[in-house]
Amino acid sequence: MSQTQSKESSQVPDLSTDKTPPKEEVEEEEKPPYYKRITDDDLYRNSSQYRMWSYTADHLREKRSETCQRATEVVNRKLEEFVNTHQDELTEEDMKILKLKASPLTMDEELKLINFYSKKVQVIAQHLNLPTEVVATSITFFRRFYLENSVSEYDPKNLVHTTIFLACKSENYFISVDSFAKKAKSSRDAILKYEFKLLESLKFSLLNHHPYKPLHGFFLDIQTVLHGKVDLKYMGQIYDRCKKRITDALLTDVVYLYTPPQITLAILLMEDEQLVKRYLGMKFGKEETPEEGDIDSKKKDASAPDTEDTESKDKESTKKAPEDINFDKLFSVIEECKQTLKNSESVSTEEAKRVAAKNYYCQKPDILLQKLKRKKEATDLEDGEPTSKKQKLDE
Amino acid sequence: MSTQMITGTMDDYDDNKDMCPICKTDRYLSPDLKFLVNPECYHKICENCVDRIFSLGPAQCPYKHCDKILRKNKFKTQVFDDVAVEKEVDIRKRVFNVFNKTLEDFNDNLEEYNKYLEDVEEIVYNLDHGIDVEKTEEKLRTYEELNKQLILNNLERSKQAMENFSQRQQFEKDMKLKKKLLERQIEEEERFNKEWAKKEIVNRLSAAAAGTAGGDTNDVIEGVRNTVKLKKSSARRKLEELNLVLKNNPYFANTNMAGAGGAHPRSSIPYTPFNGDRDLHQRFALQEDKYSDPLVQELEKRSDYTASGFRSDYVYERVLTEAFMGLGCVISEERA
Amino acid sequence: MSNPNYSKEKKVGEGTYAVVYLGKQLASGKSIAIKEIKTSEFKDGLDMSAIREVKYLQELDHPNVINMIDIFMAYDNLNLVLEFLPTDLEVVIKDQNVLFTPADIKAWMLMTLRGVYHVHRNFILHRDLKPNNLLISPDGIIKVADFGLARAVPGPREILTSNVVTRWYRAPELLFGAKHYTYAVDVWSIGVIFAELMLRIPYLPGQDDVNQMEVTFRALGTPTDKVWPEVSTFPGYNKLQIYPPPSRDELRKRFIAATENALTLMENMLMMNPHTRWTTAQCLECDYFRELPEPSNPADIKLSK
Repeated sequence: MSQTQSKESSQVPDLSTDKTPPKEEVEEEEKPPYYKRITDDDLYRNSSQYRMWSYTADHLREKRSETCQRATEVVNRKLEEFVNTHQDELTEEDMKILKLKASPLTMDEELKLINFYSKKVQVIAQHLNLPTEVVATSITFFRRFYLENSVSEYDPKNLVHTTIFLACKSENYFISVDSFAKKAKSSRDAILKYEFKLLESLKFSLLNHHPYKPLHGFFLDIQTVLHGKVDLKYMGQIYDRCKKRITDALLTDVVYLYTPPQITLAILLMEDEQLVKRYLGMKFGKEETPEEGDIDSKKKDASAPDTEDTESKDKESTKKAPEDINFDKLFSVIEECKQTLKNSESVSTEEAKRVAAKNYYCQKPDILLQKLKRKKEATDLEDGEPTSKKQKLDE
Repeated sequence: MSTQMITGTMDDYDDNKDMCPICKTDRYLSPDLKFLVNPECYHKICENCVDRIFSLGPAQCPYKHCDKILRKNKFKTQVFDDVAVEKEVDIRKRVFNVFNKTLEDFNDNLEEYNKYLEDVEEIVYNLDHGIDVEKTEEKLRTYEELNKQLILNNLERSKQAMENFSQRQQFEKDMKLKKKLLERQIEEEERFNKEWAKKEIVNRLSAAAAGTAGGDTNDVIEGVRNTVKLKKSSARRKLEELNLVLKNNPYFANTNMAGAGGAHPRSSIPYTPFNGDRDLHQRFALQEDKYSDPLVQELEKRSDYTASGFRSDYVYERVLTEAFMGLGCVISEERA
Repeated sequence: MSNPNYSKEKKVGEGTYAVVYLGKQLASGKSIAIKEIKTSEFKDGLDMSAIREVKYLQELDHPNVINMIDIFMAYDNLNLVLEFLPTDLEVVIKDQNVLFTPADIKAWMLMTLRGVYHVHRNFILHRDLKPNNLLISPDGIIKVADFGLARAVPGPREILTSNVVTRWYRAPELLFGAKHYTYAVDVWSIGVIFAELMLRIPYLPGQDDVNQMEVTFRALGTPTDKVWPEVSTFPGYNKLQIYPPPSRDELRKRFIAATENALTLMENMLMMNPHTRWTTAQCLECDYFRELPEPSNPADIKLSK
């Protein structure tokens, strides 16, 4: 996997002119038992968010299509069964209607419904006055659930409260189920009914890395890298606006395609492209900026091996590994992420209603037929035309 | 300086080992007599003469035919009876302080290491015998210049070995002292217990005699003895513990101290506190003084936060770590 | 019986919220432990301890942290499949037949500190370190276990409960009811464990919460504003009896076999002021681990006669 790659790339090249092996090599040669270099990136690679919930765009599509196809098959089979068992009662017209109206959701329709309800989760969680991170986790849980399950298997409206309730517990914001039910105008049983199913669908992974903390971190780091060159009051405004944008981003697919720092930078890019360019240019750019020069000279000093301890780290000598981050590559990644964010559109209530209805009727063909029959009767009555006549005509 | 010069002058003066060739004071008559030598020429001179001749500043060596200018602060006690040995040892010390590589520096390649040792021997030999002195000195200087860092490292390493050695001595000394104290304490306790037992037996027997007629003397004695036995003192327990520590003293297992600069008594793997579990090239450096973060800075001032141990640097470190954690993971490539 | 991949063979323990079984991973024949969490007993759905345990074990991967091999649902019960760890440090300390050396103690301290360091590196507080939760693998490796009280390091505004950590191992700021404590509470616990390993009896065995303060401060001195700014602002501080901190010599007498560097480490882990208490990183870098004796090879430590 990439583990080994990153290990190599994070290694210090041989800068020393004498025969002293660079620090890293000493460690690599004489490995004590269980020795393993773990960079901060490795730490992220080890997180469940990366291991279980990070996908390439293709994989994500495949995953959704699998889930959708599995659901489609079930729905179709049930429809077939319904037709078979009700063969004698169903008229040709009924069959026509079934064929036309009772069809499973497409992948796109599913996604629309999920997106619509994700937003609903956010609104309800915020309405319950939950802290930002709890809201974020609720949204994340909900969307992950529907990567594994189809809306035709579990009606999204039944999972809204369950995800929020579990997110509260997972984020140490415990509310008893009774008071939660009261606040959310739901019931204890409804909330708990799918809790296990939810946990299982989440593959028992509950810890999320949301971009809020990275945003806070970049807020600080920009202050040091662009020291004296940014207005703090302006930075404060940017920070608040970005925070809102992060919550919106959680409603999109970027959370599967990019890492939290990348998403954060993409959002900063949307707010102030010049700021991000200056900051990243200073930090990772190839052109020698004064700060860069400083870091470089420090690095050479620090390459003198530490006699005390091969690992000991002196705050002053903390330096980035050369070629660790490639400015151009990073920039293209966050630009891409920004585009994905821009292209994510919200779903209108009408559209959502239409899809929800379709989702409902394809699973309940009898109700669909009844409803249409009633509707027809109503129109027939208006027209004053007897039903039987029309039926005859059709025959 | 040449070998001839030294051996030549030796002949003139070295008839009596215990007599200062300058003032003719004899150690036999003044037992405090101490000889010093100066590495410039290694001519033996007694302490009094050194004081007398060199107190006012550098002066020529008082030996006939020796034109070396000597400084008082360079005189040192002669360790070896034979000045030739003394000289060689000094040269060795000087050379080995510079050429201080160990087998480890050659990745345990014995052949290379031996070749290196031979080179070093040649340098020592040349200096000792006055062959190509200038060129050899130059070689020494150049090597020192080029390998400064390595030399420092190895010096540190042998210093560490010495430290371990003295640590071990200190440890043993401490433990023995503690042991002695405990033994004395136990002795006292035992004496006290014996006295107590004696008195107790007498008391109980007289009480028994006064009360019920039958009181088995043996039973009483047995009972008191058992009580004493049960009073296993805490000092004794500590002594046992100490003995165990001494028995398992890991310093004893590591007594294979090779000469200075040789193998150090630690296992060859250096101690790595974190075993790799941290990022040596974090993409940020914490610079608390440069951050303006009203929210955190306000909390820092609150007494309930301060008293709890709240630290703003922990907050900063965390958010900064998260800002760069995964920045270099390109999912579209890594998970493809 | 419930999962085709594992067998449950023997019930080895039962707590209020979980039953522990020994078993085998059938494919590999490896011994495992299954912690079955009785989810049905809780009126608020999934229990908080279960959620915490699952949440943090899922993220942590370190030789000195217990490894969760798998997790599954069966009959509405949550089953955590954990590596098999036959004993723990409490059992070892209590076993009068086991003799251990300063080098053994050093090895245990090193492994514990590395494990907890990793937990902290992941921004997690353990909040229940005690000998009983330091499990030992068949090859002598210490594994930090039981994350039922763990939580992520809070955001600056969040309020924490001070009712964490088993009493004897509870840091002074917790005894005072602190609500914004840090990693330092875990370091304190390890310090107390260190002392216990050297003494082989619990170091600060308070009988109740009030007595715990008394015992702690009698042994280590009552903190003052001078050594711990603002400590006097804690409610209840004024009622305290003031004891002087112990001198180095008193500590030497109490910890008879400890070297100076060992005492330095212990003192700094048991620093009253959480600000100045050493971090796990500082502990790992201290001289105690560099001086002789070198830590024992874990596999060589004899845990039974």
